[in-house]
Amino acid sequence: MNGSAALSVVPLSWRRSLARQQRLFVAVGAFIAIFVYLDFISPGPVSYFEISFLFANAGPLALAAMGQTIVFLIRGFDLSCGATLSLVNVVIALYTRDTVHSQVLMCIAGLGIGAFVGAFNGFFIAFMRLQPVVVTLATMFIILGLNLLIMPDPGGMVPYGITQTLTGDIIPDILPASLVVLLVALLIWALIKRSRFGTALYAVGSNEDAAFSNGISVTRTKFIGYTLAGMFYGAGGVFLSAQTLSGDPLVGSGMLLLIFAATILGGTRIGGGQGGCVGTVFAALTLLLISNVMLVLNVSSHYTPIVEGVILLLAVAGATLGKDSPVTEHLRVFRLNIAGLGNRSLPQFLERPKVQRGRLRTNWKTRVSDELTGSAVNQWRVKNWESLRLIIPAWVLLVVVYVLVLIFIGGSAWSTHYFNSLFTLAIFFAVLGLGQGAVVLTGGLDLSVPHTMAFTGVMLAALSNGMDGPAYWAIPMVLGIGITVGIVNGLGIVLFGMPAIVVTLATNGIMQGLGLLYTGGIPTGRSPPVLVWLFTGRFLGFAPSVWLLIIFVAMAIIVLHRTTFGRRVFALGNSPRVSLLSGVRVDRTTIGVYALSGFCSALAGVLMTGFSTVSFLNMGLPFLLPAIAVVLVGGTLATGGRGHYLGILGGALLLTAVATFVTGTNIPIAWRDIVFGVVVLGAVLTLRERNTG
Amino acid sequence: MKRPTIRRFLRFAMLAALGSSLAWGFAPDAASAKTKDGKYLIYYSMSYVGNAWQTEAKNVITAMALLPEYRDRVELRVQAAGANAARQIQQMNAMIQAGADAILAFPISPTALNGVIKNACNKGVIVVVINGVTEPCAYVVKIDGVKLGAYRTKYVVDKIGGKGNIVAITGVPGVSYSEEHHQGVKEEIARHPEVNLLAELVGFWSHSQARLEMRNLLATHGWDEIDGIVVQTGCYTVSQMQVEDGWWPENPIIPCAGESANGNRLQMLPTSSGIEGALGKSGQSIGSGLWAVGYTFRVAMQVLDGENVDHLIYYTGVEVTEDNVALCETGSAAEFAAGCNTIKPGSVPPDYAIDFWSPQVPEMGFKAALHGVPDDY
Repeated sequence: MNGSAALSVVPLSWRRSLARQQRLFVAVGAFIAIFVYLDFISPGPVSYFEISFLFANAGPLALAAMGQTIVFLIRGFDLSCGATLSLVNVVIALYTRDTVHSQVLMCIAGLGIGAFVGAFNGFFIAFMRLQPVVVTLATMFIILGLNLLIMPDPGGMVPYGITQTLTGDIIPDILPASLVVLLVALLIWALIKRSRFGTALYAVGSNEDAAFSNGISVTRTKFIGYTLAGMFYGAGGVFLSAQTLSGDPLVGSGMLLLIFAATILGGTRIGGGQGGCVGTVFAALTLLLISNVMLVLNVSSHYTPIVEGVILLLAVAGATLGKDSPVTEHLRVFRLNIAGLGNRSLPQFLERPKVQRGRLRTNWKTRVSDELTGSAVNQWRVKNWESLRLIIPAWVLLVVVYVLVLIFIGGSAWSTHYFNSLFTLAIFFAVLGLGQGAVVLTGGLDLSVPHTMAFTGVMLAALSNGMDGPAYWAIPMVLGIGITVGIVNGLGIVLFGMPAIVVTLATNGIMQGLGLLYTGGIPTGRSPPVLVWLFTGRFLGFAPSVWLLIIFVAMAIIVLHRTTFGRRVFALGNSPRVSLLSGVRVDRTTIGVYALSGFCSALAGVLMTGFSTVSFLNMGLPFLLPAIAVVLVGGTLATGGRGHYLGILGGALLLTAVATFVTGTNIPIAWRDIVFGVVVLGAVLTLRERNTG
Repeated sequence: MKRPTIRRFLRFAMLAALGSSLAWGFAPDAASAKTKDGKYLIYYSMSYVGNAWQTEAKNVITAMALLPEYRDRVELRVQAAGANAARQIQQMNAMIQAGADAILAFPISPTALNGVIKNACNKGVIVVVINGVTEPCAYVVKIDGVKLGAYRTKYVVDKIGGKGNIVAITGVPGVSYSEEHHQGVKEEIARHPEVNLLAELVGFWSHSQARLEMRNLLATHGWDEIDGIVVQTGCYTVSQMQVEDGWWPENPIIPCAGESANGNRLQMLPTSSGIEGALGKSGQSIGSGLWAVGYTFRVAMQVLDGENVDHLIYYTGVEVTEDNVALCETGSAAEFAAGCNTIKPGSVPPDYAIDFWSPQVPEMGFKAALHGVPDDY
């Protein structure tokens, strides 16, 4: 290695700090590469206007992503940031008057609203110790409803003064105001980072217990962290208003995934403790420039989702590649395994004892507990209390909602018809809940559900085209495709060590593109009659799908709670490291979990095709976020390791019952989102005790 | 210690350079568009690409550009932004930079694009937008949502004799067209004291979502409680559900006014016709303006050719009811002009929008919507 000898003139401390900043370099490098390339390819040099425009357009995204970065740093995850952008946007567009006084006041109010939302999240996450995903999901729904209440459809006016100040020029043709805004935001971030609080942020993110032992108040740090993040969203919302000159209650929601992408691409680790806002800003600029690249290359619109997915994967892979990266490690182990083939070199003490081959032996029966006294019922209760505490809340709330249905809608809810509908509608969430639940149990998240679901459904409809004959091979085939997508997800996560969110997000885009290419944008064909019969036929008084649900639930419980695989999933969620040392094949289990999720997505797609009698390219979209909510409401711990499928089933039935309630009583549409958010938050609040442990 | 990072960085830089040169090789000559061969360069900025309607819209615009009168004068390029306003803004600005003469846009947000549209106008680029957008320098081809909602509701109210329960299925809450339409529905219902709005369902302009919501409602209500249905999308699905549930043929299909889906129109054909999917139902089908997307192209060309065009063009769809529903043989534009309005089953999915033809774009036939080419191409 001559290179390293030559490099030894560079001081060690420099090299160390360079190594630490690899992800930042990749983020900046990607931006420069794309920018230079675009300048190369475009006619004429890049003008001042184009640069100023890019900064102005990237402003809201960059500011919001900076907030998300802070949340990521403290091991959080914030789904409410897109909705918060819209909230600030509609308030400013609606209430700002054309005076300097009002404009300044409203900009400050915008920051305040953001901070309030952040504090709301922070309160539940830091003080009530609820899981970030579920709190911010609930907040997101509540804010979406609020936005619609405040401004039912796009409109309003943002005075030109705000626009002029934030997106105009400080020095014409030299310094755009939007650049200054971003620089000021970065300066504020730099000050925060250097402060005691900044150190606490990184410390809490790296290791909560260690931070606590060193006298850092974890709860306070988290609370302030979320509040601060909210303020950045608020700033993003103000900037968005300046840039768009009016209000739109939905504009932020579409930006959510882009915000995540910018944060991760910017080099901030989802697990916390690593990264920063500088990379985020560059990543935000890069992500927007992708549109320019597509345009210059004249990429066909059907390929757009695929190309975007691949770019995202490549960019993140660039940040994780290197000598000590997972892929190198896997290659090394693989080479060692090849070299050792046929050579029984395994040390004697590592060979498995014969008795433990096959199923993992456990000795639950022989465990003696002092508490196991009294009646058989009491013994059962004591033994299963841990699981029961996770399962019961969703079911109790389900009964509450059912009583509400009885009170407000009345008689028809007594009938078998109501339960038939409830179980039929809940089957999609029950199926998706198993896959997503298993993924969440290992501490991951699968965002590839919507388009895996749609792709399999569309393909099944096209292949069977209204006939049962082809369905018998087409259904296993599309289920196989689902499993394959899951395995690809798992391999991406295990081999490349990429964050699950990025891999599954990219896969989702790729599946969307494949669906478009497969159908040419217009899906044809119809579901096989046997699938339609599942939902419209009758078998022993109920739709066949209800019996199918019962079979599925039994199998799901066996898979998650009665097999070695299930135990490994729980072990992995509790601690991957301990699992590895205990002989759990962590990699295989991870891949298995995503394969299970892919299978469940495909199964849901198959069922949805039967339910709809035809299939649509967007039929998976309404299921992603509610399915995640189902899993969490069902008592699953978002950081993994704890949960029970019966709880998830309860969550599926609960949220379905809520949906029948709000449509049946005709609650105003904006309030439906709010009700949904409050139910989710309420459900996890009743679960609270379990999560403090 | 870790490996020297600078080497890694160099390696990355090399990879980046390699990638760039590859992309460079694939890149078309961006500057060629207008200047070299004298053609107009027109861009179409789609929002998202996720449903059949958007695909049809893209096909119709593509077919417009291939009409004999435009073929040799125009180059059309289509780009998709995804469901994200910032992306679309960036994309439209890139179109301006790429030397576009006109930009056609299906806006993700009717307000967020105002800034970039103003910029386009300042540079002399013509912007034509389908629905929405408040920036006055743009040309807006727009349906009057309130009027359409009221008109559809009027049909149903008349069918049920001015008395009964109506279920309304909206589009996407928070989107202007959806809110306007729903406002029209509610206003019309308010004019009839004996008509009651039984339920508002959120349909997201998607048949599968309409079905899910309808099933949620049916968990606590029966078909016998519903007298009429007004939807933005979903008449086909709602009628189909009545067949699945055995409500039909014992009872007539509940009157439904809504979208221009082919399946919806087939259901209006008498059962005696023997056509698959015919239910002999009472219904009204008015499109939300697939043809208007094609029309934006014509508007852009008219402006480029120096004609005087209004900045705000309201359009109305062709109304099809059980009285004038007529099956086409081949689906050529000439046939549509002669009065047919429905495609035979099997050739397209039932949710396929069939309102691509209109007197303003009389050249658009089935071939245009399906393959993106005009009839004689």
